This record gives sequence, structure tokens and C-alpha cells, in this order.
Amino acid sequence: MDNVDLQINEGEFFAMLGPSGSGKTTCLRLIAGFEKPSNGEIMIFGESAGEVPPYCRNVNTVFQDYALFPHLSVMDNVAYGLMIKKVAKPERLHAADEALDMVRLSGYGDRKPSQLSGGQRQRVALARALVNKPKVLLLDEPLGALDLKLREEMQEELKDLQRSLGITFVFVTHDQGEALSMADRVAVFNEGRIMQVGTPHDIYYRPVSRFIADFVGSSNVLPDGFLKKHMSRNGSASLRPEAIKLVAASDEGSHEATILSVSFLGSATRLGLSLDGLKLSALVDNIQPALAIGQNIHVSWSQEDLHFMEDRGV
Amino acid sequence: MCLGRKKTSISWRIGVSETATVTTQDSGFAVRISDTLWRKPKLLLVLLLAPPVLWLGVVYLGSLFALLAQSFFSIDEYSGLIKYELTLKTYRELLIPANLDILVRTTTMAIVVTLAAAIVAFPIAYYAARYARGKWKAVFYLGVMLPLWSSYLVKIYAWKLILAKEGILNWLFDTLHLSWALEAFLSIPLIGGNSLSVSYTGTFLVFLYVWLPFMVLPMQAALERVPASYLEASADLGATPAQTFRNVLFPLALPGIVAGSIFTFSLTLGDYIIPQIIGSSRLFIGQAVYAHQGTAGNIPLAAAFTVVPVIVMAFYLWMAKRQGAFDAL
Repeated sequence: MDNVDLQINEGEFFAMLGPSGSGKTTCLRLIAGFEKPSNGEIMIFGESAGEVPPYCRNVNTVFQDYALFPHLSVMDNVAYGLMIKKVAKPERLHAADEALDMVRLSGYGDRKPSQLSGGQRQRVALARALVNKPKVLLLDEPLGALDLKLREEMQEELKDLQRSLGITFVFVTHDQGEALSMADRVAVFNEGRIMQVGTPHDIYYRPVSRFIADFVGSSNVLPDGFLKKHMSRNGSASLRPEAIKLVAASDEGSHEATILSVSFLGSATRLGLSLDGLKLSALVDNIQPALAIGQNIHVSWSQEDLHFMEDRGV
Repeated sequence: MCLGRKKTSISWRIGVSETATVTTQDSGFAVRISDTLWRKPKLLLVLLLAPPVLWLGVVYLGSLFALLAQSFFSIDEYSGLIKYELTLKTYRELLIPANLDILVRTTTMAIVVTLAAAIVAFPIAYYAARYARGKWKAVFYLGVMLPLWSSYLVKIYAWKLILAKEGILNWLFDTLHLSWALEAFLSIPLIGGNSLSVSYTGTFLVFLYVWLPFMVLPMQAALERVPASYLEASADLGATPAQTFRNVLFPLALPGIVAGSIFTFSLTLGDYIIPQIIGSSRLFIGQAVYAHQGTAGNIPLAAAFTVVPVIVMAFYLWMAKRQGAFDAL
């Protein structure tokens, strides 16, 4: 990791987004204390934390594989942190009960983790971390192992939980949809560097580089040559697939394109287009006259939908 | 019989223009056997299980019960012949002080060897499971298994030379001007003696060396199944490394430790060569069995002696299960 300068505010839902191997998990592990920075500094609530071992930090982690202790019951798993802090047994069982209640798993305390489903384990991991009342909760791809329906449910639940508890959530994910829908702010990682930090809206509509435009929502990138030829200006621009409209041939400023592929997505149809040798992806409504591969159509987009970027490559 | 295996030739069309033709031989004897076994999976199971069941059930368990039965017979003191009528006389003989000493001595040695093996093996197994990768893992396996490749007797005689009064260990203490420490240690009653090679300490060291691989390997296998994230999660929840060891690592390694201790414990209980070559010439169970079934011809007493390790092991396993040693399995 290199040149990562990040400030996370108290009480915010912060997402670290990036492809695998981009350094987002390493960044999370640095905050948790599982890795030591070779140089640079980590401050947690104003205190330098570089040399502080994980068991002395007021942060808790929800692991990607949940890391529930298989030899302990659900209740003992949740009460583990309090047991370590030598909280008296009745008190810690009471607190664990409340935490299980919060994640809607009351009554599951006597089971072993192996007797729970993936979604339930995930909630136990959440309760086990939250029962310690951490200042920061770190979540390492916590929804990665769940199926789509459960994942959407858990996204809602996590957001509600964060809002009601008011503690800082730092969330690592490679799923851009998840990051955009859940976070207050997003940092996009690539190759050990932070490419952009901003609100989901910023990152989606005003990507600073080609990588972000492509990674966050598979935007089309109009390269330098294309802009010169069609709009006589330099640089490159990103264009969202949903901004491309099908128009009649007579419309002014329309471009002729050939359909390369048609995929029906349910709520919309994705078209692969070839425009003057440039491959574009367009998301159009289903209510269109039948479109066939090889057919020539006309497309256009409004100037506001083009976002020009200083191309930082990658 | 597989489809398309008949003597006929089958042709089919690929694409538009090409035609492929395949002719197969009629199925042979081997094919007919596999077809039959595929249709009757239970037959296959019976065929696979028959040899081990015969071996374990008849040869092994059978002789064990024969042994158990022998221990309920007794020997006629005058004629030296075995009286084939059921009696507890032999067991009474087993519990006379001289014989009881042998039982206590052997069991104590087995317990001490097992505890020491567990303590010595843990760091080795932990390193191998957590940190050794690729080449270092191979070095680990080689290092642990290599002693098993050479003859057991050669190793024991080598240790006799190492531990003897004229041996390398004495020389080392001499050279380091530490002979006084060794002398002081050897003058401790019970564990000391004339030299290490004729003391219980010597017997203990050789037992520990010879059985250590049997403790390291199951322990390493158990630790291998503990993902690093468990230890991180424990630290994350506020546990110091010592607390993590006590609350997470040790309970999860326990099945492996118990498995290893079954080896070290039972092997020490039954061995009769090590205490004969290295030690204070006081008898262990194995030696007693050897003496009674051989020259003395007292098969019933030898059998009664053999029953003791079986009972001790059964009791040990029952205790381990009750203590929840296998819960993490």
C-alpha cells in the first residue's frame, strides 16, 4: 500500500471499495491492528495506534468468514469479549442476550455455530462485535458469502443498525452496488492506492479517472480521439450506460451505431453497441421495437451526461 | 454393458459434412465385473470390508478375548500347570505390593512422558501448522518422521551411549564445568542414579524421544484446522495472546492432543525394551508380561498384567470424553 491518506469521520458509514488485491482489506487490517504499518501513521480518535496490539484497541471486526469459535455456543461466542474483560457472568449473559435480540436471534443462544445458517452466523458475528460497544465497527466483506436475497435484507439491516447505534462503520466490499447503496462516503482502492474518496453520488456521476468510471457501474469511457473527432475537445469523458438514448435517424447530433449484443435484464435491456469502432454499453427500456444483433440504430446523449475527467490512467 | 459397446459400429454426424465412425470391442471380463459391482454397491462394500473385519474382528479382538479369558485362570503352584477353571486368584496375585509397584511405576511413567511430549510437541506443531509453508513444511515432516525410519533398537542403544557415564552428555557437562550440576541431579532419590543411563530420568528421556513424533503429528493436524481468523477474532475481542491460547487455541487443539496422548500413553504402557536397556532395572508392565509368559510360564498372570493397560486406556478415554475433549471434533 502506498500513499493512502484517509480520514474517516465519527458516526459515518464508510465503505472501502475496490477489486481484490487493491489494498482495501489490508487497510482494514491496519485499523484493526492485525498488520503493522511499515511507515506512516494510524490515528484512532486522535490516538496514535501504529504499535498498539489489536486487543488494546477500541475497534471490533466482523470477519469475512465470521470466525465464530466452533467449540463455544452462540451465547458464549457473543459474550466472549465481555468474558475476557472479566465482566460478571449474569451481566455478560444479559448483555449477550440483548445483543442477540438486536440481531433478531434471541433464543438461539444454546446452539453451536455449526447449527446456524450463513445469514444467522453473520448476525451472530455482528452481535459478538457490537456487544463490546466499540467506537468503530470494521466489516470485512461481511455479505460476501450470502445469497442475493439475504444480502439485500442484510444491507438494509446493517444500515438501520448503524443509524440507530450511531457508531462508525467501516465496510470493505468489492461490490460497487453494495458500497453505493449503503455508505455515506466511499473510498475507491486500486493497486494499493486510493483513487477517489467521495459520496456515492460523486463517485458515480463524477468519477475522476477511467478506472473509477469503469469499476463503479461499468461506465462507457469516450477516449481522447473520439472526443476530438466528434466534439473537438481534448481529454476523455465517462458516459453512463443509462444516459444513452435511442433516437430517430433524423435527430440532430445523433450517432449511428450497430448492435453487437442484446441482453434482457428483467427491468431493462442492455445493448452492446459499436459506434465508429468504439464499443459502448447502453441500458434501455424494454418497451422498444424488437432489436436484433447487427441492426443499425441511432443513439444520442445530452451534454450534461458527459463527465470529463483528467485521465489518471489505469 | 455400456451403450455403444456392442459389436456393431455406430456412426453419427458432426456438423454438416464430417462423419465419424467408432467401432468398439465387446466388453471383456473386467468390464463385466465392474458392471456387476456398479449395479450392486453393497456387494462392493462387503468385498472391501471383509479383509479388515476378519483381521480386526477375528485375529485381533479374538486374541484379546482369549487373553482376557486366560487372566481368569490360575496356575497350580506345585505342578506349574494351568488350571482351567474361572477364578480371581490371579488378580489377587496382581495386587500384591511387588506387582502393584510395577503397575504404579509404569502408569506414572506413561503420564509423565505424555505430559512432557505434549509440552515439547506444541511449539513444533504450532510452528508447522501456522507458519511453515512449502519447503519448510517438507523440512518439518522430514524432521519429525526421520527418526521413525531407523530401527528402534539402534536408537535406544545410541541413547544408551549418549547417556552412559563415559558418554557424550557427561563429556559435555565436564567440558562446560557443569559436572557438579549433573552430580547434584543424579543424587536426587528416585529420579537419579549412578548415571543417566541407569536412572528413571534416562528411561523418561528415551521414551520421550521415541514417542514424540506420535504426539507432534496429530497435534499439527488439529492445529492446521484452526484458521488464523479465529486467533485474530479473539485478539480483536480483547484477548491477550495468553487468553487466546487458553480460550481458543488449546480447546481447539485438544482433540489432537488427546489423539497424540493415546499413542504416547499406550506405547509407554506396553513397551518392554526401553526400560530393559535404559533404566534402573526395576520392572515395567511390559517386562513383567515378558518374564511371566516366558521362563516362568505363568500365562494367567502375564494376561492379567496385559489387561491393566487396556483398563487404564479405557478409563483415560472415558475421562477425556467426559471432559469434552472431543467436543471440537
